[in-house]
Amino acid sequence: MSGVLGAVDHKRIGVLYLFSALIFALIGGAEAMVMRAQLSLPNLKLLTPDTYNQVFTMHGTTMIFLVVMPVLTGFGVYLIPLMIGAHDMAFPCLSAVAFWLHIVGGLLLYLSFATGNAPNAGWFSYAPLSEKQYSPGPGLDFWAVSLILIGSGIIASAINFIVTIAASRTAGMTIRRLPLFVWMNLVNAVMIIFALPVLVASLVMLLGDRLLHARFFDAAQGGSPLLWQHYFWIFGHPEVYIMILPAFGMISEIIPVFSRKPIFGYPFVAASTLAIAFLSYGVWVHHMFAVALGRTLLSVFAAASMLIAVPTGVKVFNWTTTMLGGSIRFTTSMLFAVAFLLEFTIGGLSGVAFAAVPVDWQMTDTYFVVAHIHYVLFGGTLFAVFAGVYYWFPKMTGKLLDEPLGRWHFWLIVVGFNATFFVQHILGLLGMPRRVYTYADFPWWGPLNLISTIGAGILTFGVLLFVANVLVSLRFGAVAGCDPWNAWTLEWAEDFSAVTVQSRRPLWDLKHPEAPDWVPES
Amino acid sequence: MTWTKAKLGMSMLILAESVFFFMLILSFIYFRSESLKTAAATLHLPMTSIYTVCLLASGFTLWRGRLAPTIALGVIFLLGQGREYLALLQSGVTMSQGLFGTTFFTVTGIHVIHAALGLILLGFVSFGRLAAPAIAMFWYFVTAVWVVVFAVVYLWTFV
Repeated sequence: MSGVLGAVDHKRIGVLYLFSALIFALIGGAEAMVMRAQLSLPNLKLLTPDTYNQVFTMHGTTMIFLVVMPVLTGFGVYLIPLMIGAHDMAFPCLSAVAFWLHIVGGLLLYLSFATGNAPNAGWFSYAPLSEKQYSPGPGLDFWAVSLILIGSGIIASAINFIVTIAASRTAGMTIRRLPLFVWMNLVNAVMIIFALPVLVASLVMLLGDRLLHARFFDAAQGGSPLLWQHYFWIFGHPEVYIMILPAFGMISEIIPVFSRKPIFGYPFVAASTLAIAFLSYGVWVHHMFAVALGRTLLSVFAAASMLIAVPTGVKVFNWTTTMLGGSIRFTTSMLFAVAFLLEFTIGGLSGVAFAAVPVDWQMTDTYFVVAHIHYVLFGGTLFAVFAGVYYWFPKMTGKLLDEPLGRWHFWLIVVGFNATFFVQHILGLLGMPRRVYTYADFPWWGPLNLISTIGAGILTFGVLLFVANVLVSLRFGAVAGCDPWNAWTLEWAEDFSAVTVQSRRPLWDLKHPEAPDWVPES
Repeated sequence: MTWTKAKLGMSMLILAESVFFFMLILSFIYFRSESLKTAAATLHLPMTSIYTVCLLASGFTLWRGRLAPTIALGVIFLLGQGREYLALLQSGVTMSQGLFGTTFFTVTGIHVIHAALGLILLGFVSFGRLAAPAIAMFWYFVTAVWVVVFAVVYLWTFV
């Protein structure tokens, strides 16, 4: 036990992050199943409206702050030092502090259930609903305090990432030779430094309103609910990219290894990341198109939002071209990586649709939004995370995850995921509003919702099979050896201090002295 | 100056803190037109100017490597803030009284917390427990933020 509580080693902290993310994913998934059960048939009343509000708020907050963020941080803490040839993070104790801040925040968030009043204003808690007079219970106070703790932990680990990458690289690991996973985590950490403090500031102001009767967001007292929307989305939109960039990084490591080709256009993959980071601070108003802000402003933000599809598209083309002509090995990891490309592209396309203001006006707050965010966050980030788990599990545990079980897991997830969320596009087009606990028996709403619920059941089964695969493989899995995929980056070296880094693929150079990536000086 | 890990880490923290203060100060500016009248009637520019000079002087003494006067001047600044708060509360300006109270106490209150934390850290430095250059950066940041707050909240109100 003291080994867990006192751990500062980056590998331990990394695994702890992944473990806690898995636990919270199961909790958040259970909340999703409760919602899908309630929505499976028209006019069903399994839950009260208020309970339903609490469940969807907790589901969103859990999945974003206690699953996606920590799982990505966990991979970063575990892999970055290994990939750049460092012995640990720059500040090992800070990794531990960041991890425990997020755990305490998570526990505090769930403690709110004990008050009988979990937060219920949605994951973006719009004012004035989040104000004391409309949400008098303690739920939102728990929500705000826990997000301040979690947010501070995220900032702390971002600082740690930046300093580690800047100051702890081994000789020869220049910035142009960084593995793309490290590159994207570096850009991501900088984005966190600029985005998460905005969330913390907004939450401090919200707590001021709720606990000290300040007036920031209270229109009746001269405050401005619109200010909350601006502040939240100035954080919230970069946050969307913060939740995908490290996943892009994983995909950029996995696809080349399983295609037996170096990544196509490394500088473009790296530079398009910078473009995404830069643009992501200029698009937040596309979450607020339904607010009357004037046509000029809406046009500017619509254009910027469409523009951001360009660097994202560049990446998709890079990954696809990497696969083109390669000798592809369809391991479970690669299957998830390829599925990621398809699902994420669908999510990207529905996102571009929203950038068109009139489309947004029609679809805002419908199930189309729910479909979109799940295609990018589940079909995008979580598919990449599954690819990453199958890829790096042998590194972390010394055992390979079982491939036949992995295939079952993969197909259950793909079928379940698309069944759950694809139909929600149609439900959105048919006008079904999100965040409403039940619905009347309008044409097609019932059957489509039933398909979605059955899909969610399949998805749950897939996730449980994944957990089973982890448990079974830990005990009975095939021994992996230190380089099971014949990979190229430093984390797979038996002893990285014995490797000289002279190119982007140091292990390739080691294995192929006759044809290294670098040109020897004559 | 050499970039040790501690200094690089501190500069990243300062970057994050700058974003944090930027958003809070922005909220003050956002509501400025509604809070201007109360601000002009209740803020005490001359006294606060004196305390501001003390804080700036503390930055100077720290730069000269003198820890004791730095902490003393920092404490004087905090006492000055306490005096200003007391005067405001006596004239009925509170967090809940209006938009000026809301924004003023949030911005300056968060700054006071940082100043107090900075003094505690400087105390640890004086006992040789922490890396002095990184903590010094934090104290310079505390003084720099106050210059901006003083300009926006005080000077802009009275020009």
